[in-house]
Amino acid sequence: MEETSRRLILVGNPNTGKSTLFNKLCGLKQKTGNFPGVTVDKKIGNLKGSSFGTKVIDLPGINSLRPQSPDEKLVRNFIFDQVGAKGDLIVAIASAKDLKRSLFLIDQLRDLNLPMVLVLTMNDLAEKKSIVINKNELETYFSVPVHIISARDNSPIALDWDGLIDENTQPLAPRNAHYVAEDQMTFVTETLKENFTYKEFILQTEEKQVIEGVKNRDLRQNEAILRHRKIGELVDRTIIGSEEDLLMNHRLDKYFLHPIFGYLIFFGLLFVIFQAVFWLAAYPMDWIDEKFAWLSAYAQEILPNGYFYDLISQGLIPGIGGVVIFVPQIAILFFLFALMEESGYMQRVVVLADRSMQRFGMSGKSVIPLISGMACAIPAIMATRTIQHPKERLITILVTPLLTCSARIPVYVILIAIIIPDKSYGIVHLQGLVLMAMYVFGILMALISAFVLKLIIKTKEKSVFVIDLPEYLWPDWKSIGIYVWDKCKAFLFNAGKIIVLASIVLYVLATTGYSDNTSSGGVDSEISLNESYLGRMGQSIEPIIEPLGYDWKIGVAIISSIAAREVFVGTLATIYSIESEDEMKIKDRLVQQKHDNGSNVFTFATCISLLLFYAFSLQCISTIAITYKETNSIKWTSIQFIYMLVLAYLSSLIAYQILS
Amino acid sequence: MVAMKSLSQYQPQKKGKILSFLDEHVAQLLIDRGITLGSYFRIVSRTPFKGPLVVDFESQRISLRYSDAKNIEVE
Repeated sequence: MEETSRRLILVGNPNTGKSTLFNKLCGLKQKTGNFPGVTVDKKIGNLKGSSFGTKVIDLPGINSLRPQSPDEKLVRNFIFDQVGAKGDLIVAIASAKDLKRSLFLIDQLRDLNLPMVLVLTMNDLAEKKSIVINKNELETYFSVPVHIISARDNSPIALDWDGLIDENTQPLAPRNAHYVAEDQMTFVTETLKENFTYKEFILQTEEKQVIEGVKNRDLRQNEAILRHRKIGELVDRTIIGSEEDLLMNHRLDKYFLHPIFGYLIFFGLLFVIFQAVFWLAAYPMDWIDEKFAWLSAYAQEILPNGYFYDLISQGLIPGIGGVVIFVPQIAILFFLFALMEESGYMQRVVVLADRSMQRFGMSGKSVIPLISGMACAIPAIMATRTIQHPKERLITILVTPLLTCSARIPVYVILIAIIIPDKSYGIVHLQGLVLMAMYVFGILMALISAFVLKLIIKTKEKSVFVIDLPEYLWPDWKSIGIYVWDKCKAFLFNAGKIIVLASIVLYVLATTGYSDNTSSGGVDSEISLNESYLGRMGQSIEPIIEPLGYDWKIGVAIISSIAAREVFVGTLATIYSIESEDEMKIKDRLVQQKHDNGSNVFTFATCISLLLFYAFSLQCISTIAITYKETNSIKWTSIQFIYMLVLAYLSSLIAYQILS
Repeated sequence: MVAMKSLSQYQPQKKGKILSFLDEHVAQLLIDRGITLGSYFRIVSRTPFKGPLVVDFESQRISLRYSDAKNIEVE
């Protein structure tokens, strides 16, 4: 048997404990894979203890094989196109405590006739409610093996998964097409063929078309009605439990969805999240900052002199430090998100926010990407996939980068430190207040832009919004831990790669170039900054940025931070440390910079202008790349970059001209 | 003839039964969840300014927009 061809493919509704099971089976040995062409959080792991190198694939939760949103469609197509090779086993997952709801998808999956086992999860919670499940009924109905487990204890590991693959290699025997109403059967067999497959049936009835009087819509609706009827009967035979036991735990909705308290609780939580992100993260961040500064100085001391070694101590180490320093914030933010998501609270926020978001052309579901955008626009834009409506999704993608992401923080912090005194009035810290104002600016501009886009973008499709409010669940800490670890890892390696590369390229560009004065050219003569390639780039854009109050050195920093915003501070540090040898803090060094005529470079007007520029301009290659991937459109990717640039340029121009 | 009422007119705690769907998109989304003509419901809560409604159908709790609820006729 080939070793690499064994795969367990986990399919199920959202909130069925699918990911908890996946984490149990694979532990930390997992990575996020992509569907060809698009980035979807498809997780791939190695089955623990497997001697065959069996892979486990965790697909995002779906409700039906008839997709209602872009992410569901990706999952569906993956099952249709890439599952079914020898060694593949579908692990259909249903929740034991919400059987009726989860069996719809299982019933659909069964009709694909692929090798499959049915796994009922959350048995511990079902037992707590004294729900008893008759396994034999399910096995007879679906004619597949059924296993009842609880993903939170050790029952998943006790199962012999490799054995299951070996026992279920044959395609399942086709069932009757019970999902087609009798009076429509003749029509369907005539349109498709005798013995059509379910996959053919789905694809045929996907489009809105009418063939010879039978509407595909009717076929779709009849399928759902027929399946649910059968499942209803099946569940009645399968489950023993009083009606009270079957009721869901929705008690907290009384508070969380309250027309007044619901909103107060939400804003209270947001406040807690921001306090945690800034105040709590400050301690580890200071520590990381210190350690990297020390490392850089230490490297400079012990490494021999020479260009290559300077590149390490002055380019690479500060570059890596600039990435690592954001890890605490990202970890805290994603920890709190995971908590809200896992417990079921996030869905309530979607409900609360929908009305207000609609006014700005977005959906309640836009709240999750928008809040995530305050950490980083990249996962945020990926999270827009749950929004069904194309226009609402597009607007959310376009405005998300206006929110203050963590990469802007170092830029803001240094600029604010230059112009605002480090003073407190009572409990109000002046610099903190200005930083908060920058966040408010970001939110306001995102809403204004969304409103304008709503008026501009035309759409034919009607927006519908039906979401499930799952039962509140106590979160599984291990799953949350793995989730946070995953996000931090992705940040470190994906964003990190770009930032480290950028800081090396910068260092090289800043220290190489050509001299105008050809007579003095010697091999080891030092290139001054204004003769370097980087310096020349800055000088060439000086006429454009002069009205904003920037000189060519700031221009260099702006050009280089197109790679990522946080490069700005590093670049200024590099530029001015190349010029002057004395060890000084970046801020103090910047304050002392003078123009040729003796006036200060970093005046109040220039700093305000820079703050606004960084607030609105899309200085992030990764975001541009992800927008292109998600919209699959050069047009919208360019529109996003250009509208943000125009916004940034105009607001900086106006601010500088008024203030100077 | 009693005048038809829509789901959007019901206040919290009111119970009823679905009579017809006036919009096929909403119909498909609900039918996929096993909520069909004749399904019983109970309004759980409403959000201000004609925001989404929260509705229980048997053991499922779902939320739908006011504008979509207008397209569901109930009694």
